[in-house]
Formats: sequence, structure tokens, C-alpha cells
Amino acid sequence: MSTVLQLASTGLLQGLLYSLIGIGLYLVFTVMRVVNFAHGYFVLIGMYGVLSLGPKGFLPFLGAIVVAAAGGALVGYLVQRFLLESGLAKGGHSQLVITLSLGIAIQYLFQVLHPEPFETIPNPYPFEAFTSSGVTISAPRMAAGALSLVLVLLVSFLVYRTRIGTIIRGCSESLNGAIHVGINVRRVYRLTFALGCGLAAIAGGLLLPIQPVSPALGLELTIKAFIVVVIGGAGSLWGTVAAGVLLGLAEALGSLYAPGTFATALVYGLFFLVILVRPQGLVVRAAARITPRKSLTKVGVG
Amino acid sequence: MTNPLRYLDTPLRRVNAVVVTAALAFALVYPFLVPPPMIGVGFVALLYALRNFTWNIAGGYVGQLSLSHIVAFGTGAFSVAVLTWRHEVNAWIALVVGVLISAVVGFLISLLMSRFGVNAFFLALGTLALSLAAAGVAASWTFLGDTNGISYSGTEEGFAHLQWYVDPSGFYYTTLGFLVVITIGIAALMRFTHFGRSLPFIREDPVIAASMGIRVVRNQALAMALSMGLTSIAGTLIAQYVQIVSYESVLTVEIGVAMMVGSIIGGAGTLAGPIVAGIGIAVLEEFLRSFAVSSANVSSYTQIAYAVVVILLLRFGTGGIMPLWEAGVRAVFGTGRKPPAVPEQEQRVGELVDGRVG
Repeated sequence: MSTVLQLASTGLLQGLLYSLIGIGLYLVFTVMRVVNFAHGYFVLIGMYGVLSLGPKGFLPFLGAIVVAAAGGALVGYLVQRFLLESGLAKGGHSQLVITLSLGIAIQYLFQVLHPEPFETIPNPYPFEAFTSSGVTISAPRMAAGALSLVLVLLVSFLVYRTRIGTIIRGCSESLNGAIHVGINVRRVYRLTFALGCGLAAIAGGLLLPIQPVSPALGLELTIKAFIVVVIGGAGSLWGTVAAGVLLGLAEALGSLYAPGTFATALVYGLFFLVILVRPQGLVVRAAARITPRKSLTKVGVG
Repeated sequence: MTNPLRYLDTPLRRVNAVVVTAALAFALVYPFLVPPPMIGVGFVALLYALRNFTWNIAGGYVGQLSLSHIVAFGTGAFSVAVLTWRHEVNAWIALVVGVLISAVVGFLISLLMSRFGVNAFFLALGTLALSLAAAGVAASWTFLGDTNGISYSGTEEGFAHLQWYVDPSGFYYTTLGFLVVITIGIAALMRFTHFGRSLPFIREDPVIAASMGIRVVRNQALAMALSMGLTSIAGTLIAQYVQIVSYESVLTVEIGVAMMVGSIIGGAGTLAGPIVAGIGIAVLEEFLRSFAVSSANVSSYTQIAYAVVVILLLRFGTGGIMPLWEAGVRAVFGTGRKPPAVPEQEQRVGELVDGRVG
């Protein structure tokens, strides 16, 4: 029983990290409809950023994460500005191949810069591990889960309670409408893309003390981010968060019954089925019921 | 069809005919001009070309950005590893088995995905997930050598066994043969059959294609089956050449991306583009090696070069090497009586369709 409890709690905390990575992609993919196959590689930028700053102690670690996040956001901004913006009208094809190639380029750049695989940093937190009723959780995992939760709440506040969030959602709802009411759509896209990439980089920083980094991780994280976003559906950010936790739990508990690589294969196989049967996502109910009314008002305004 | 020279009616066609003849002649004598290690490089170059070309059938002509070709490549490699190396079945039978399995898998994947109306992006994502799942299964299943891989253990060599130990020119000529036969076959298919001509049409507008009586879902699935089946041949050849197969060597995403990106660099949906790009990439790899770059870094730099070239091509909206080449030749020699067949045909279809809709 305690094994299950142990796995469930690590899965839950890992899942919160997936949620954080996922909402970064949610903003880019679901809200802006930009296919970013390089998303996981921005997590990698965060991980290598923090690794190369080599922070000792808690506050330098946080500082390093902030720097890495700023770096990730900057790269994201430039990518959107110079590579993707011109192809927005052309749709998925070119975005898909451009971001996929970008991811490969980032991966092999890190391969050249950091040939050592599985580098990591020592525990940066001022405490060690929590033990309660037979369940032990290491400090980095606990802190990463908690900080992810805080960030998810902050982002949801930003998206649903602030003017910027309203503008972002407006662009998602109707691009033409947003242009008509005078929103600088290009700038919104650039900043949202930067925000999404920055969140991915933060997640990377938080992930580093838990999971040693190697360049091949980028692709895996990209796929996981897409799994989270697709299963979460387009309805709301909370679908993505729920799907992230679900993925974390499924992975952890799946490892009970199947050996490592086979469990991953199972997750990918299930994801394939979801794409086939419900490409609109599993957690889409509430939003689907709201949409018709919203589109009516849209027609009325247009 | 009375006089084959009638085909050479424009400067572009004449130049292309000269280039193709020269390239073929060079490819035939190449093993006699260079030392044996360079024959191996030639084999790899042809293999890249074959891989890109077969991907292009579904990915370029029909526009199915598929990463399930990784599975096809792996199937080809694993079928020869399991059947020939373990159970001493003739390598050619294993090759055919690999082709058939891959074709069936490709047919089913495409059928499933187009039946459910999956769009291009979800096709890429779904096929990627499928390939990763296949890699995960191969890594944990002893039948496919789990993490250790399967090593070659035979002793026979020669064309009948599709194996040569010392001199790679056997592999070289076999691959060249496959490449030439497949290229001619696909060119004929695209030119003379209703099925082949429907493929670019489906890519451009599946809805109108369907409304004009083309069976879109079936043709997509058939193209995918053909494409993945032929990709499996490349997997079999590379497995026989390196004599070890593991999930890490034949089921990686890099292979799928290399096929996709190689075709796009050359010119997706063109006949010669994927071949030119495949050979070009192999030459680039060899060129980097001559700079005494460590072999681990060679593949890293090629991957980066790949990515940068593709990003630039897509960013600046050119269609790849072949369209640039055609534009260049026309600029130098003039257009002649009429533009070449394939682009013009597409254009005509486009105009026809525009005219009817508008």
C-alpha cells in the first residue's frame, strides 16, 4: 500500500510539473494555434541554463531560474518574431517543420556544448526530504510541485482576471475581431509565445534537481506537453492542468505494472488512440457547452 | 511514343536529361574510382536518397507529413534481423516480408487517420506517438532484441544472400539498382496512371478532389502503403550493412525527421529533389569528417545544418533545391516551347478548379 501511496505522491508532483510545461504550450497551441514542436526544447534551455549558472544555495537557484526563464522567453520572442510570424497565415505545415527543425538544432547544439549526459545539480533547497506514514518525498520534488502549482495559479489569474489575459483570449476567440477593436495582434502573439517559452524554461529549472538533463530529453518533453494539451482539450486552462496531473499519475502507477520503456510505449499508444477518437481532447465538456453562445455574440458584433 | 526524343522539347528537359545521364554514368563507375571506404560512403549516400525518395511518395506528393516511416524503416531492419540472422531465412524473403508488413501498417495508419478526418498536424503528432510507442515496445521485448539489439551471425555472402563482408560495392550496386527501379516506377506511376496523378491533387485540395470522383481516403492509404513499404527496403539494406540492429539504431525520431527534412530540402513532391538532398547530406557528413571533427560531433553538426537549411528554406518560402534548379536553368537557357510537365499540369488543374469554383 505504501508503495502505491509513494508512487501516487511522486506522480502527482511530477504531474504538476507537466501541468506547468503544458500550460506554456496551451497558451501557444490552443490559444494562438501555433504548432510549437520545439516546446520541450525550451524546457531544455531552462535546464541547461540553470546547469551552466551552477547555483549554490536556494536564492542563487531561484535567481538562476529567473535568468534561464528570461533567456527562454527571449529566444521564444525571437523565434516567433523572425521565424514563425511570416508563416502564420500559411498554417500548420511550415510551422510544424520549422519548430521541429528548431528543436533538433537546439538538441544537437546542447549535444556539442554538453557532451556529458545526465548532468545535474545538488539539492539547492535548505531542507532534505519529507517522511510521513511511510512515504518519502525529496525536497526538490516537493518544492517543484509546490512552485508549479503557484505558477499555474498565477498564469490562470493572468489569463482569466487581467486585461492582458482578456486580450489573449480575445485573439484566440476571434482574430479578426481583435484586429477590429485595435489590438496589436502581432505583439500579443509575440508576447504570448515568449510567455509560453518562459514558463517552459522555468519548469526546466525546477526539473533539473529531480531529473538529470540530457539533450534527448527535449523531444520526450515536447511529446508529453502535447499529450497534456491535447488530452486537456481547448476548453480551459484547467483541462490542461488536470491532464498534466493525470499523465504524472499514469506514468508513476504504470511503472508498477509494466517495465520502464513498455509503460512509456503504453502511454504513447493510448495517446495515439485519443488523437484518433477524440482529437478535441478528453476534458472538453464544459467549454463545448459554452461555445455556441459565445459565437452568437461574436456574430452579433461582427 | 514513336520517338522518345520528342520528350526533350524544352531546354530544361534537355539539361536535365544530360545531368541525369551523367549522374547515372558517374554512379555506375564510382566504385572503380575510389578506395573501398569511400564505396561505403557512396552506399550511405544512396541509402539516404532511397529513404528520402520513399518518404516523399506519401509525404511530398500526398502531403502526409508522416513520422510513421520510422516504423517502416525499423520493420525492414528487424525483419531481416529476426528472420535471417536468427532463423536463417533467406534475406530476400525477409526483405519482402518487411515490405509487406510495412505496407499493411502504412495502409492501416493512413486509413484510420483519414477516416477520422485527422488533420496534417495531428497526423504528424499521432504518427510520432506511434513510432515512439514502437521504439518502447522494441526496447522491452526480447523478440526484438530489447536493449541489447540483435547481431548478425551468418557466414554466407553474395547477391543471393544480400550480404558482402569486405567489399561494400555489392551493397552499393544493389541500392543503386533499387533506387533506379523505384524512381522509374514512381515516375511512371505519377505520369501515366490515374492513381498517381490524383496524389498531388489530393494534397492541394482533398475536398475538391473528392467532389471530382477521386477516392481520397483510399488513394491516401495506398500511397502511404507504397511509401512505407518501400522505406522498409532501406531499413533492410542498412541492417545488412552495419550487421547490428537495435531500437536505438533504427527506431529513432532523427531518422524520421531526416527523411522529412531531406525531402523538403530537395523539394517535396519533386522526383529528383529527395535524391539530390540525400546524396548532398551524405557528402556534407563526409566533408565534416575530413575536418577531423569527432564522429559523435559529425552527426550533431549535420543535424544542426539540416535544421538551419530547412528553417531558412521554409522561412523564405522557396520550395527546395529542385524548384531553385529549375528556375535557374530556365533563367539561363530560356523556357522553350512550354514549361515542364508536372508543375504545369498542377497549374492547369489549379486553373481548372479555380475556374469552376469561381
